[in-house]
Amino acid sequence: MDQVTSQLAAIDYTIIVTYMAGVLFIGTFFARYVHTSGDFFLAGRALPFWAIGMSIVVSDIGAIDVVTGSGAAYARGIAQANFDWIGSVPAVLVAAFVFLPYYWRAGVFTIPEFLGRRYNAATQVIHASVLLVFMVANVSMMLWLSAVFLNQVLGWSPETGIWVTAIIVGLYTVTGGLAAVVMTDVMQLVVMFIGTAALLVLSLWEVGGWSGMQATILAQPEMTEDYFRLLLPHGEGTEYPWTGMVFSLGLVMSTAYFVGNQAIMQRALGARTEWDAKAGMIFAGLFKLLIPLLVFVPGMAARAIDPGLAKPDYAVPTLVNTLLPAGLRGLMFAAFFAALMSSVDSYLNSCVTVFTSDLYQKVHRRFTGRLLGEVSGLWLGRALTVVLLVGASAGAPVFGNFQTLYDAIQTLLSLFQGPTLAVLLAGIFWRRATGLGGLAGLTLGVCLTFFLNVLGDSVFPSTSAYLYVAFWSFWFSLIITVLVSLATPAEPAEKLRGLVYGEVLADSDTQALLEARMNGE
Amino acid sequence: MNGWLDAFVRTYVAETRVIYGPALRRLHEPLDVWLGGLSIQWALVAALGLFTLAGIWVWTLRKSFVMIGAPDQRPWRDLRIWATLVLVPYMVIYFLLGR
Repeated sequence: MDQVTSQLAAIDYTIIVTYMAGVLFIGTFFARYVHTSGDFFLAGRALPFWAIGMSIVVSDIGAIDVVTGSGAAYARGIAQANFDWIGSVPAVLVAAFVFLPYYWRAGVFTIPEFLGRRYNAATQVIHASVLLVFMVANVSMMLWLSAVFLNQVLGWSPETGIWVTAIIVGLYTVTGGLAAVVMTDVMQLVVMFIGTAALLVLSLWEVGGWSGMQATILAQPEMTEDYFRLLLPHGEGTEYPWTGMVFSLGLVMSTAYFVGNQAIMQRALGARTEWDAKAGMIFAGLFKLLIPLLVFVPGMAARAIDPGLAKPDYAVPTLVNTLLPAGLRGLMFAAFFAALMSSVDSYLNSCVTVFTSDLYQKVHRRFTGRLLGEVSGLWLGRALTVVLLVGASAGAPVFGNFQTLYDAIQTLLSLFQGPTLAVLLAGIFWRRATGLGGLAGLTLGVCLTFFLNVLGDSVFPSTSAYLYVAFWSFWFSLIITVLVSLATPAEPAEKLRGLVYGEVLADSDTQALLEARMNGE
Repeated sequence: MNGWLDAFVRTYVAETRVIYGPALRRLHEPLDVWLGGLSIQWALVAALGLFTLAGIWVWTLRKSFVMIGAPDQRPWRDLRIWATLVLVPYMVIYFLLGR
């Protein structure tokens, strides 16, 4: 990256600074529409489908994906694309047609909130607390990455880079809430797509198109046709075996990601209508189709251009350095920064939502006997955003020292996918699931996931053991939830009203009850 | 602190893998042997089957359900059509690159 830095021209710096100013302007513009906590957390439920879809994609694709994803494609080939292809569809359809209508009509704002209503407060608080720790750690980590990036591009010290990013993101997230986050995401997606599309076109041009790239790479020593295959055999040492891709990624991990990830779901719940929420989710599936083309194919082209890179992660920086002219290089860096900021703002907003809805609201209600007011909720949300951002910024330099901690965070983030999906499915579709069943399924499932992650490739044939861990932890959590539920008394019918799928979607009496619940009656 | 934490994590991971790894490996191995013996064509069948099932399932949903909240009832608002249009390119890509 240092080589790239030295070749930035004045026009590149101008583009980067203009882009930052533009994000700030658009973000703060939406502050005028924020008057209540509903405006802040759910954008006043006014988001159109196209903004939701674009925001979901850009929140999902971070700067890490741009660099390490293309690096992984450089090393392993097109199989890397499974994470955005079979790892998105059919999950977005399940999210759009099963979970979104349910959350929408049940008036659920957060995933822990559902767990609390359906199971018990302990499940809600445990899930919310752990989720918060990981989301804050994730924001810290992304701020650190931003500091590294700004250090390389503009020569700023890491501390300056962290606080400048924090101030820019903080200003529009604090003032404009979810609407500002989503609308800046739209701008960031456009910038990201233009930058990466330029890289795709120029890199493919350089290697003689897809067939030229294929011929060049296959002529390299020890290279096989598998580099251009999406589905690879199930066997010892295979990084991405088809079984893991289809059964774990395609069925469990992706579904858990799209229906249980607060940062993803929150955008859809801010939709102006249920149709927009569903359409936004499906629209995101269309954009996800393009991500491997824009991010991973350039990584593969880098392999054709220079097969001897010191590290696969140098693929994109090398292409930027060698192929892009002045101006486009600045745009590419703006795209990289866009990917970073869009992830930071999304996770920050979701952190505050989870904290307010699932932790503070419970304490407030216990002591005062009433729900937090709309205006108080707005100011609490803003204050918490500042506090979380300052905390995450202060903790960000830690990630410069702990390489193992960074890896641990990535692994720990995946701990919840299988167990969360299991308790969500059981809670929504099975009336007999009980509070203790859900609590046991979630906690024991997370414990098993942690344990299996430690064992890793000493048990599973692939070096990407998490693929199997997510699959088995899902089934384990589901079985535990069922067994413990059957061994404990059934929940009273009144508690389940408005929380079981068929009722929520079809019963008008239940709808009236849900509205009353949302109003705190 | 950094060194101490790293050393603890490394020791914990190594010990756990030595103690429990072999036993669980023996449990998982028969499944790996069976799956490893399947032709890669089964992978293509499984992936395309997943997309096809999703496509069929979407068309079992009622039109009134997928149109709730739509600003008007024009045919292009039917999200089942959207879902199908999204699924088709994925299926083509897997058909071409999954073999």
